[in-house]
Amino acid sequence: MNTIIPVENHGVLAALRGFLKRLLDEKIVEALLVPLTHGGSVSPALVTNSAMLDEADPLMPIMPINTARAVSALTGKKAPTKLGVVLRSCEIRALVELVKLQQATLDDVTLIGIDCAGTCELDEFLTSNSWNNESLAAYLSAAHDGIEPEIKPALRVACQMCVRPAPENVDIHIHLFGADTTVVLPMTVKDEIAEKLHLTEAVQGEAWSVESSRVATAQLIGIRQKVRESELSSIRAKMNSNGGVAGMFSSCVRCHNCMTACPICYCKTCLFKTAAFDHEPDYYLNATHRKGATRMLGDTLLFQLTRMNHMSASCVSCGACTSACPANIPVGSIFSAVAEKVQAAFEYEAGHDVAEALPLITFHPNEWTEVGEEK
Amino acid sequence: MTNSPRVGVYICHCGINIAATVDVHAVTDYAARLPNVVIARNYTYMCSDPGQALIKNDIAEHNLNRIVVASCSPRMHEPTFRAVIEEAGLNPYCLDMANIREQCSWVHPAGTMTTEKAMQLVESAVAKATRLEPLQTRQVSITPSAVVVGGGISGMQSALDLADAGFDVTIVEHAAQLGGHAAQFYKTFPTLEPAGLLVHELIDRVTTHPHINLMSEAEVTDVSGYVGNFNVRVKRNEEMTNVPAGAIIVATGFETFDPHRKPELGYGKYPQVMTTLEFEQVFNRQSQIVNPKSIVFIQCVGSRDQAIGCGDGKPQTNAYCSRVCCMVTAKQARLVREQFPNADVTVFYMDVRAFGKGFEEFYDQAREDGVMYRRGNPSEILKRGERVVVRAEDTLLGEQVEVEADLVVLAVGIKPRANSEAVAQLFKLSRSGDGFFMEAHPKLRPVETSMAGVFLAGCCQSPKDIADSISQARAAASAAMIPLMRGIVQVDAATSYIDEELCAGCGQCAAVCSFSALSLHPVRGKMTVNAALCQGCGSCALACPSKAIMVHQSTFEQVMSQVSALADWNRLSLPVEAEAV
Repeated sequence: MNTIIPVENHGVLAALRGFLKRLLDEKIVEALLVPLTHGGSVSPALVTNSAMLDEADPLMPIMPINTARAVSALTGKKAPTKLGVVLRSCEIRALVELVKLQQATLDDVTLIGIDCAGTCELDEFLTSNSWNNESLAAYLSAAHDGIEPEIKPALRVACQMCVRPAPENVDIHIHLFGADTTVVLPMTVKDEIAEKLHLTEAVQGEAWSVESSRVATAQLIGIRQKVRESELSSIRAKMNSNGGVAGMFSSCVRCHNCMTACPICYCKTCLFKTAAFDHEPDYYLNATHRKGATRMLGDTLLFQLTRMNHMSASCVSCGACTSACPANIPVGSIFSAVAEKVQAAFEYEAGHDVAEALPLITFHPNEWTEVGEEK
Repeated sequence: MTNSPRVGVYICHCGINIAATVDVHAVTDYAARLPNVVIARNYTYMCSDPGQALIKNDIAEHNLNRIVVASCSPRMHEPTFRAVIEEAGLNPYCLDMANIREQCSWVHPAGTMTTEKAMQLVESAVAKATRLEPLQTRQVSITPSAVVVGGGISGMQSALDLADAGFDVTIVEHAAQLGGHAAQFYKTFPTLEPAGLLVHELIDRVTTHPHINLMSEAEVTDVSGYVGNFNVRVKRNEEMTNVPAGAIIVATGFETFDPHRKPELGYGKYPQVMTTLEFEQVFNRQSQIVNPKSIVFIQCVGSRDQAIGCGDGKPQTNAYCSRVCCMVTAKQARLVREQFPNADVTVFYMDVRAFGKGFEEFYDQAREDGVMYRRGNPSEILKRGERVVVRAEDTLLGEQVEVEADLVVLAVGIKPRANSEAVAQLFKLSRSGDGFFMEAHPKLRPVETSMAGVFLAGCCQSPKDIADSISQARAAASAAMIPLMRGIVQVDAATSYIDEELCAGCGQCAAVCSFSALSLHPVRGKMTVNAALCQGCGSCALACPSKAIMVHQSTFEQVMSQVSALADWNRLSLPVEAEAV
């Protein structure tokens, strides 16, 4: 059901907080995972006391971590209670992949997705210290118009090229695209929840309609598709240039931040944190005698390629890896460039639908026949 | 004893199979120089008694604790050499084999490169051998009963042998009657006995046997468990039954080729054209043909034919010989001559394959009886008045011929049943390119499958006549009796194992496991291995992103050591440290 929460003088954030409080107070959920402000930033927090939701701010344009990881921690193989989670679209996509990997469940989970107009790099956002009511208004106005927000600092590259900014397959979809959030906060709510909350069907009009939402979303996707194509083709050009993929990772400092930040990298202990690739000292010398020179320590490229092998079918292009990289390697764009091809090859859309099986562990007898031997 | 590896390397000539292309003496010298190798030898046949004695003596004399045999595929002789070193007091898993025959001498020409490849394979095996750990096999007690799927002659014979040996057997048959195709035959070749007598004797014995439980009009819907302890779910009249079994014999039979797929032969269009199977019924009823003047038999309909597919969705050709049609035709031709002595009987054939005992004599008799054999593959069958005309090129005379006929009999081939893929998935069987179920080894393990405890009998494995079907049925019953009579099964120790610290319970390993050996522990949230089901194939280890599941005998460290030995291989020029004999 489409419904509209009126926005009063206190603004859209107050309306949003009010709605979230009702979810807790009216026992739609027993606990709510939502970004809470603290110290000029936000971080995802689990809330059971609705008074705490006065601090909730899902509209601040930063994503310190991809919260899908937190949902994995909260649900595991079985959620302990009825849980509501407020997520951005890329967080939802990551969560869907984690569910397929049996690292989280959506049973007893109410998925609340907010149209995401984009996020800034955390450090730049904190340094600029310029977020206020005016910048929020500009941000929401751009979402209304379906254009890139002109805020300082600029959006993360991953967000500038995000072509799936609206949440997919959620229980509650909070609309910002095509919505005049100075007067309304529109949302699409599953009927059973709408019924329990006694919500009424929205009167669509000037301030918001399904059509205005569709048009604004499509327009924004169109803008970002161009950025994505240009970014990924420049990445592919570098991959195919002299230094190749190895060159692109040459400044890797082996900190494994990308792995830590990746919402889908789910191993308890990464293979590269174990002794698996430790060698006897003479191994390096022998290898060097063969090759003339050996990069020390040696497993950076192998690490990246292994992670790409493990992740490219599931990569949702959230860019958390790029944001975490101290060496300014465009990890997310590189992974997105590879993921796009891998997912296209399997006609797979990572993070879209939990019913869609992971391609690498699904066996079709007649798949990829063009790769096999000639008969 | 296992801490410092002392490796013995044994290079087999395999007669001239290896020695003709690989310089086995050079490989022996090379192996002797490798680290941790104490002794390297070569011998004509390592698998022979004197060859085995060499290994046993060295283990005692040189205190060896790891053995590498460079010879044929481990599928051939790994059990042999494991037994050898076990007799000499070593753990049987302290063995590795380098396959320098199938993977080297047989596929490369003689020369330095082939010899160097053998060296590499040996070096790689030695690298792994130094890291091998002793493993303990486990024993599991078994359910002393069997399930036979299919109540044709093969299934019935297997069931009777098992039941006569004292084991309870359940036969699951989809039809209402036992007997399968054989019940439709009139007389058998080459003895011309009434087939009905043979089949009904079997049916009588099966239905009255105290150890046989017959479930007709029933089908298997699910199979779980492992050799010794399967659980077979059977559906009958909407009712599900769980049948425990120690062994399973699959004897699901065949279908005949559908001659509609060769429209030029006019089957279904002209009533005069029928199949050999339908013709058997004509004899049984003896009513349908009235004084025919000319009868034509056409061989190889749907066999040895590259042009047609198998018809079950796979783009296959029935390139194989169905093995029975030549003799079925000879038999029917003789019976026709006997019954209608004035009729002309013509057989069109490509080659006559009369390979079995008494077959050639039977075929000769058919020709002596006046059956006309013409070599040629008919191109079409036409209607002319009340009769049909078979048009063909007689390739021996090199001329076009037309034979008018009152009756044309098509010797239709044997093909896999349409539900073969579903049955294969149910029992986790492989299928060969022709669509029949695949045996574990074409020569050495003809009735076993890649699934331990599941055996094959009859035409589901390949086309066979009654005698061969009975032979295979009795062989399958004997093979099935091995675990049943032993009462326990040895569980191979080279199975996968979980590192629970690392396992995130993502289940990717379970998704790729063909043997259903992996499941998520409901409480611990980690994967668990059913070692009795695991066949040690290693797919799981490949699927796991964090090395939380590995396979004994192919651990990460062992495999990486092999890769390292092979990568950028340079022929070592080390001083001789060990004895090369």
